[in-house]
Amino acid sequence: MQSPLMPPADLIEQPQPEVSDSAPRFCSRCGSPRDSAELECSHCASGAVTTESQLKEQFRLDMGSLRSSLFLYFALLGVSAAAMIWYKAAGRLPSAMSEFVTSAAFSVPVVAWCLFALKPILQLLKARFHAGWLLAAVSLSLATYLLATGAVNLLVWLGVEKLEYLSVLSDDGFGFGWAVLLICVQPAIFEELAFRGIIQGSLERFLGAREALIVSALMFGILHLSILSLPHLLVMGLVLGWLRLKTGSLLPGMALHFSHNFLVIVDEQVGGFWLW
Amino acid sequence: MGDESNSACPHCGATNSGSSSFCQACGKALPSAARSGPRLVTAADMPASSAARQLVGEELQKHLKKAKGALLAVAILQTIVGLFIFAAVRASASNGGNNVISPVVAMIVLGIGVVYFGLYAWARRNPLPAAIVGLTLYITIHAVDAIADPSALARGIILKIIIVAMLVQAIQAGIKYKRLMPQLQAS
Repeated sequence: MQSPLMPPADLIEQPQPEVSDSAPRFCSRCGSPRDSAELECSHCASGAVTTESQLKEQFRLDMGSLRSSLFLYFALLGVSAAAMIWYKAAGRLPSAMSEFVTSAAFSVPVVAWCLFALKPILQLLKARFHAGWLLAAVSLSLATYLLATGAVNLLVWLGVEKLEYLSVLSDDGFGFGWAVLLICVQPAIFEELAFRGIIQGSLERFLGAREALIVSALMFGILHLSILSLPHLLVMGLVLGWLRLKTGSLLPGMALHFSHNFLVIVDEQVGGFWLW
Repeated sequence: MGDESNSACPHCGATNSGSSSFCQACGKALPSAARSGPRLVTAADMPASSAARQLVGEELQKHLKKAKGALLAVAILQTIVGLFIFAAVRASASNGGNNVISPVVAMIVLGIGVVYFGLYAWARRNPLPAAIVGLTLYITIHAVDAIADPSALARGIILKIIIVAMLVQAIQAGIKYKRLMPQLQAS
């Protein structure tokens, strides 16, 4: 399902040249009627861009979509970078409050981008899908969780220090509920909006569904800034993107993401399941 | 604009570009006079003739080369730097004692080189997504590197900026490649 994303922010100010202004109602090569939304004439298959200006226009729109997704990525990267600089300058490890602030800061660009692309995002949120997909999402989260803990345990065995998520909060007196909010709810909502919503959607405009899925999964993995986590994050990104394609909705992905992260912190809280 | 002068359709009066055979507003055939003018064959036109096909093909190759080239350049650069660091590690190790540079750094740099060779291989078939990932990865890596070690940013900053520019151009070339491909296949 290709969700045509609204023109990205930097094109909104200009009177968006209606594609139908230059898109013909009849093919200039064979004279048969054509849908101006189609790129090709269905009768003689001649490409839509028969003039230099149309090619330029297409290119401009493509670059706009691409800029939109890349700028969101770099905005999020900027937030992560700012957080790292802050911690480095402060000379101490993050506190619970700083984690909350960082988390909120991370959400800001996502909300901003969603406001500019409100219609397609709402479409992705309101899209109806079979309830079975939610069950599938939770089941898949079990698989991604196993993959993630397997990878982490392998690294621990190799001598890499294990990441702890809960101690930051519990040390400052915040209970498990806060952990759920910070580690399960927030990423599930905002990372899905950002990567499967905005980025995958924008890339689809010119990359095609499969390539947009792969690229958005890669960007998702890279943004977590952890080479060692990259493999299982990549797999998770692919599954999440696939869910969005299959259901046309962001909700199953959010369910998987929540469930996966929830399993991780429960595991940490309980001190390790017996499975691994 | 590159097209020869636009002409008016004798049936409905709409303006059509000189290279149209049929009116785009009413679908009726345009008089042959409208088509007999000198035809400017650019790569944007439908390749109706083999000469035009060749032009599109050449333009495609140009874009493809640009995209691939940028990724290959980064791959080679990373490899060279990685080997350089590796040599420095060996040198400092043989000097005995003070290992200022950890071999892990060399491994990471070389590893990134391997990744970019992979992106280059991907770009040979499909330049656009590879170029996008290439740019994203490059900026991410160097942003993190700069924060961890601010002096690293200054080292070779001009080269890094040039590489970013090359990767952006690679993406633009990739997009043009993507849009041109159907033209070649349609004929």
